[in-house]
Amino acid sequence: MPDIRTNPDVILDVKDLKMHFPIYEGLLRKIKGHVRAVDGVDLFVRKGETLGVVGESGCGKTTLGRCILRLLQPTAGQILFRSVDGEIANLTELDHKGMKKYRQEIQVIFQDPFSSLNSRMTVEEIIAEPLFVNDIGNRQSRQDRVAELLDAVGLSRRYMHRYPHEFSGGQRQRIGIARALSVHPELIICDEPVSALDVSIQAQVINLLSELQQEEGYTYIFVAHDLSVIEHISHRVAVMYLGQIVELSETDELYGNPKHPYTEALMAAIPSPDPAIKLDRSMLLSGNVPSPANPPPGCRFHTRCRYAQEKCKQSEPRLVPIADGEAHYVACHRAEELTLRPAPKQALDVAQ
Amino acid sequence: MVDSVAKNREDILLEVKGLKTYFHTEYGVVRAVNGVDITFPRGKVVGVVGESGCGKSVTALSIMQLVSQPPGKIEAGTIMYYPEDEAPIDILSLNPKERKMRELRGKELAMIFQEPMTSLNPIYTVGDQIIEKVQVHFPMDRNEAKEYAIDMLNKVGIPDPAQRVDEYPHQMSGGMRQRAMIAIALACDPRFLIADEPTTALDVTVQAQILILMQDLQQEFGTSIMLVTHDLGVVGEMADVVAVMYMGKVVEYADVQTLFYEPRHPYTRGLLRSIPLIGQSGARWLSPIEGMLPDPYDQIIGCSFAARCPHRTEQCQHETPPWLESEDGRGVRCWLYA
Repeated sequence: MPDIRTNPDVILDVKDLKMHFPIYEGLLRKIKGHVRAVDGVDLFVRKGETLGVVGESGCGKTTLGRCILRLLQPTAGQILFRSVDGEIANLTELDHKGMKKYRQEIQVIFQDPFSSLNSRMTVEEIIAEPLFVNDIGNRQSRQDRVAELLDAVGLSRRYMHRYPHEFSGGQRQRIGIARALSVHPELIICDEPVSALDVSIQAQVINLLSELQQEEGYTYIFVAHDLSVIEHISHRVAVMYLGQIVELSETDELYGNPKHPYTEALMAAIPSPDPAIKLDRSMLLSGNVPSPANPPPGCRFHTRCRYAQEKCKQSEPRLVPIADGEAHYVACHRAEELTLRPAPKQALDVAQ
Repeated sequence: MVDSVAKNREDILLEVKGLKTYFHTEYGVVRAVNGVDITFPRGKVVGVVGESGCGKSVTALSIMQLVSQPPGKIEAGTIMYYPEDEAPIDILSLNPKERKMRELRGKELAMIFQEPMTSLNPIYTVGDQIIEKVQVHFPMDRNEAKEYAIDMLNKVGIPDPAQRVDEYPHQMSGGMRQRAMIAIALACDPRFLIADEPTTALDVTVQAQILILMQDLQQEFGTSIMLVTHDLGVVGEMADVVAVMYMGKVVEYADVQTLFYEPRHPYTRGLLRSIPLIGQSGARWLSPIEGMLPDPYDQIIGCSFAARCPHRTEQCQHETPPWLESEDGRGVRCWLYA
């Protein structure tokens, strides 16, 4: 993978990141095992792009985001981040104080616009809080910035003194976005930012995020479970399964030429709004995702994989580039020999 | 192509007409369902689709007479149920708490809820919950009912049903719980099944399993299904007929191909245009519907969608559009087609 030190366009470089949560037992809280929520993740993000991270619940996508934000202290691995002044820092080594500088540069938009805004604060206080805690500007300049941000996210400046309960889900999500943008971040972790919204509102928020990226050049890590939203917004996509990335590629390449059996199965499971396309029963995955406290040996997907062979049970595949180049990475022993099905193309031609 | 929409009286299993269900809260009246007409043809899947607050779940609860009263109240309308060999039953004329309705509910009309964790009883085993229902409706002793429960769990694809029948809901995964819930709903071989967002809480690969299971069971039992959902993908996959709801009213009703390929109502078109489709990556921008849902406490004059509609005219803002039905059974509520 392109190294952050030699590639100036790479802004974030995650190496072998692990986040294990201990499982306690009994009165003495003896550790009886670990939930391996993130278990050896490698990825990189280029400046100005959107990296989509997709997977089912429990695959570790949210934990990955929280590690990058350093809301969690990772168990092992490196998170190399290129600061706006060009310096490269390993975020996993920084303490609370050392992180402070980077907290402005890495912001987050949460999933649930109902629980992620403090209901006792006004819109102005919420949006200005990152400025306040980072000691940026004075009262007047902060207020100006809030007004500017409300314009940018498509809310009226008159809303400044209102409270979150007065807004709909879509409007609250806009407030959450304005808060993330307030400190001019470089990288924004969007953790399922549209999954709580209705479809017509979801489209507004997706467009807003794209617009802001186009104008201001933000870099997004967009975590979601919805494959059509991910396809729409991402330049590149990482597919996660049981704490690991199984495939990482340019979006069109991933959907048109998937190389990992899990990616294929995931895409075949999306019900299509086009009534002509029905679910392909032969592609259905059986069973459930195994427990991340006790992942299967060998390839973690082998228990549900239709192509699994003996070697898949024995040794764990690494995430490696296929063929040539540095565009498409896959962790599968059989990636080179398998021909997998692309995501079914959906078409609805609806006039205005 | 259009034969999914019932044209003859005999093809209709259940018919909702002019249904109004209001909630009288301390802040005002919410007209959650405000004049809904939906026809459910025998043996078909009717997708009822719309955004949150459009009244789709309240319509479902009204059919089951499960709206909590107060604050809810069914103000007007009829819900006619046409059993195959018996006289038609006017559901709303029955007292929700009395024997007749209780016999209907569970046996003839069943329901699957969205959240299997909150709608299953955590202190009874899954088996007990099926057995209870079976014994209410059929003259079976406990052993027979338990055999029946194991058989049902087997039908919905739960492995080792003989062991799992004695498990509690928390011992099962989300997908298994939803299967158990389907087993409970189908236990008395209902004629009409309401599935309210049955897969919304599930992961996409598990959702696919449950959708396929529902298709198979629908074939096997010939059940008519009312599938309430906000997910247009689930509708496209499952439904024969679709009713689109907005602000307490059905705005369009048609068979699934017609609705998705030739939508008429501007709201339906807006919905279909706002979803990202796979393989259309050339389209950088989505086309959202402008504005947002009106306040549910407001009483809207004219068409409820007028404020967000790109085709609105003066008339739309003053007069409520009529329900316009064409001969092939499709209908739309919009002045554009009057």
